Formats: sequence, C-alpha cells, structure tokens
Amino acid sequence: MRVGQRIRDGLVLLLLAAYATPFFWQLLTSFKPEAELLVLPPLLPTRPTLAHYAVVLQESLLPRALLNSLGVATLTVALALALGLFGAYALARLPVPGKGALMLGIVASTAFPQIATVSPLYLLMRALGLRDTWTALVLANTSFALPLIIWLLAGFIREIPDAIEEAAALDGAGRLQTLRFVILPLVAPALASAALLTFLLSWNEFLFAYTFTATEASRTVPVALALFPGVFEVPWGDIAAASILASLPPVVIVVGLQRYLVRGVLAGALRE
Amino acid sequence: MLALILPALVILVAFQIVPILIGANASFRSWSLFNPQKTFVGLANYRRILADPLFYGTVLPNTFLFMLASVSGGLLAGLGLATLINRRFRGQRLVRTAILLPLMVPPVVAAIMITWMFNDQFGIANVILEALGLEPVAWLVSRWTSLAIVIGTDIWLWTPWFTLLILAALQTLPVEPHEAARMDGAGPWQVFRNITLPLLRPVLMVCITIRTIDAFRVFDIVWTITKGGPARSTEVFSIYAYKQAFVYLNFDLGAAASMIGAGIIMVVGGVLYKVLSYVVEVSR
Repeated sequence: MRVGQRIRDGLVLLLLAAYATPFFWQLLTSFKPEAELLVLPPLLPTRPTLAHYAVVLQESLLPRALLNSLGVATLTVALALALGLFGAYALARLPVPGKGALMLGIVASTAFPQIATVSPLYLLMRALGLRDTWTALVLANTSFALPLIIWLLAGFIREIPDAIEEAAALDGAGRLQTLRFVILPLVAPALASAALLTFLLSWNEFLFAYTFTATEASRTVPVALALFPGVFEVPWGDIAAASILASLPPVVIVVGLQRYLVRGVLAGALRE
Repeated sequence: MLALILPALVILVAFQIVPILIGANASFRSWSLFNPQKTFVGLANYRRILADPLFYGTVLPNTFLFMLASVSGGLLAGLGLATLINRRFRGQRLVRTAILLPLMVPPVVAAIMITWMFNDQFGIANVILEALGLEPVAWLVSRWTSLAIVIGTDIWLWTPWFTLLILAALQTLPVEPHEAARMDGAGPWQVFRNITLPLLRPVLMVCITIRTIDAFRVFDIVWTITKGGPARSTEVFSIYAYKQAFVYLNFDLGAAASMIGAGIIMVVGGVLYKVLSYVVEVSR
C-alpha cells in the first residue's frame, strides 16, 4: 500500500512537471541572452539576463498595453459588479414580470457565439464614435460578463433567508438600505469571486479587443502580444519576457486569492 | 423596483441583443463594409456560405474535430488528474496552484508559448525529437500537425477546469457505496467504473455541455497559432466568419456564417443536453 502511494505521488509530480513545461520553457527563454536563444543545447541560460525585460519595458508598447488592460479590467469589474448586483437582487427577490423567461434568455445569450456579435458591435461602436477607446471595451466586456455575474449572485442571494430582510424591513429599512446593509455584507464573498472572474475575463479577452482597438491608445495586452512587432525575424526573447509580464496579474490572483477564485469557477459552471 | 434591473438590462440589450439583431438583419442583405448598399437579397448570403467548399469541406470538419478532440481530451485528462489528487497529501496547495495557472493565463499567451515550443528551427519539441534520433518536424506547415497543436493547446488550457469541477464533485461523493464495494472485493478499477463514474455523471454532463459550446466558437488560440493557415486549412467557424467580415469586408457573408454557426451550436448544445440528461436518468 505504501509503495503504491509513493508511486502515485511520484506520478502526480511527474505529470505536473510535464504539465508546467510550457511555462518554464517560456520563463527560461525570457532570461536567455540573444546568442543562446537560437542554439540548443544549452537548455538553461548560462548567463541569465534581464535584457529582454528591459527592451520590453523601455522600447515596446507593452507598458502602455498593460495600463490599458488594467484600466479596462478595473472599470469593467466596477461597472459589471454594480449592475450585476442590482440585477441579481431584483431577479432573486422582487416580483419582476417574466422572471423565468428573462433568466432563461440571459443564460441562452451566453451560449451565443461571440463572433456573431463582434462585427455588428464594431459597427455600433464606430457609429457611437467609440472606436479605439477604453469605453468600447468596458461596455463590450461588461455585457459579456453580466450574465455570469447575475447568475452567480442571484444564486447566492436566493439562499439568504427572507426572514433577515423582513426583520430589516420591520426595523424601518428601505429596499436600498436593506440591499446596502443586509444583503451586501452577506454576498461579499460571492462578490469577490465574481470580481476576480470578471477581471480575468477582461484581462484575457481577445476578440473584442483585437477588433475594436486600432492604436496603442486602447490596445490591451493580448492584442499587443499578438501584434508584437518583429521586423526581420521574430524576437522570441522579447516576446517571452512580454508574455511573462502579461501573465503576472493572473498569477498573483491565482496564488493570492485562490479560495475566491475556485469558488467562483465552481459556482459559475454548476448553475443548477 | 424594476429600476434595479433596468441598467443591466439596458447594457445587455444594447451590446448583446441589438448586435445580434443587426447581424441577423445584415445576413439577409447585400452589405459590404466598403459599400453598404443594404439591399434585401433574401437567402442569397446563406446559399453562398453553404455552397462554399471551404465552409463545408474544411471549416465545419475542422470545427467539429476540434470540438470532439478538445472536449474528450480535456475530460479524460481532468478525470485522470482529479482522481489522482483526490486525497490529502503534502503540497496540496502547490499542486492546486500549478493546476489553476493555465486556466487563468491569457489564452493568447498560452498560444504564444506553444508556438515557440513548436518552432520548426529553434523549438524545444524538435530538439527533443533530434535527441531521440528522429527527424525534426515542420509543425505549423501542414494542416494536421497544426490542428493537433491547436487542439493540444486547448486541452492544456482547459484540463484544469475539468479537474477542478470533477475534484469538487469527487469530494462530495458519499463514502458508503465505495466502502461496501471494496468489502465485497471489488478492485480499484471496478470501484471507479461501477461506483464513482455513475455518481459523477451529472457533473460530467454539465462539463461536456459547457465545454462543447465553448469549443465550437474557439477563436483566440487558433488565430494566434495559425491564423487559419497554412492556406486556410485550419480555419474553424469563428475564424471563417471573422475573415469574411474583417479581411474580405463582407459584413453580410460574415453575418450569415455567424448565424449558421449559432444555429448549429444551439442545436448541438440542445441535443447534447437532452441526450446526456437521458443517459444520466437511465444510469440512475
């Protein structure tokens, strides 16, 4: 039995090591001096260098793209969470007419392929004069994230006993006060999960950003990476450094806020 | 009180529903992005898409192949991994972090990492092949190796998601049936096959449905790794519709292709859900 478990442990570690290979390879590449990039072996950099990071941070448009991504993601989280909380509360608690159909429509809309909305949205954004702005991305990402957020939060709010709210009402609290002082603290963990998922969704989103942006004024990180300039040959070392930088916020979230993240992923998928 | 839900509804209608309606409308008109006549042409756009050999001969087969391979690959890998790590052991948190990372990293970044590993001259994949005494492969020059790489990337990205959900389900399973089966002398495989798997069916069903719908509309990793090439041989549905609209500027054809794809995925998703629900019912 003990031997069997040892073997199993070893197998798990081996699998994980294999699984993490793309990461480690990219990390190694980002520290390799130019001369060692294109010859193998050595596998490991003999003289690790930060040159690629210096190039990316000083000479490329990536810093601007990081700022754009951060701004768009933060604003998307704020807008989507505010709208989503109110919407979820109304759907969970209040006698909104046609509630069932509305909920069904919201879920069905998440199954609709993004590609079907992207080109009409592009025309819409152009007509509104929002092409190549943060606003276009915030609005598009918000509309994309809202169904998931509403679904997540409505599920949590439904589990809060009515009695708590009735008690608040007896004490003279209005609807909004109840929402602010009773519901909000109770759904705070779910709100945190929803915020993380929305942030990552916006940070990683590619199709909208690729289509609606035109210059560094609004290009986000995935777009900047996809369009990374290479004049005569592809600068793999710089790209490696840039993609490591692009992964930092998700890595921080996964390492630091794992509990909320896992809860959000589970609740988002198991919507029954 | 309706005021509470109104803002969310306005955003959803304006940026989800209205674009779908604009697209549906455009799919029945002659509407080029550089010459938007907007004259009504009936089903002509749909006919052109459905008669396009690229669409029915390459794009749809690619899309379904991608969907099948990616979902079943991720499911099997996730099931295996979840079963392996479903117990208390040292380094649990580390393992969980390692599993979560690919799920959270931008897909474009994953695609770039994989493209670099499979670079035909300097990629580590070919270095390993040569070390084993094999011929290096020009991975992204042929259709099938390109598709295999794209599918592999997607499996890599989504295995964590399967693992997470299946692991959560495993941890809520009752222990009695497993113990009883073991008392009766069932081996680990028999326990897994006859007890664990049937109990997992509901969650597997949800996983399969969600991922199938998702995989059908894949865009970012295919675009980053192959752009649909070589020679449009790895285009999937979303790439095809995107190129119609933004490369060839045929907003009308792009819209028609999108509508056809949306129709297919609604039907596939619906049927899948029905079939899987039935399977779950029967197995109970």
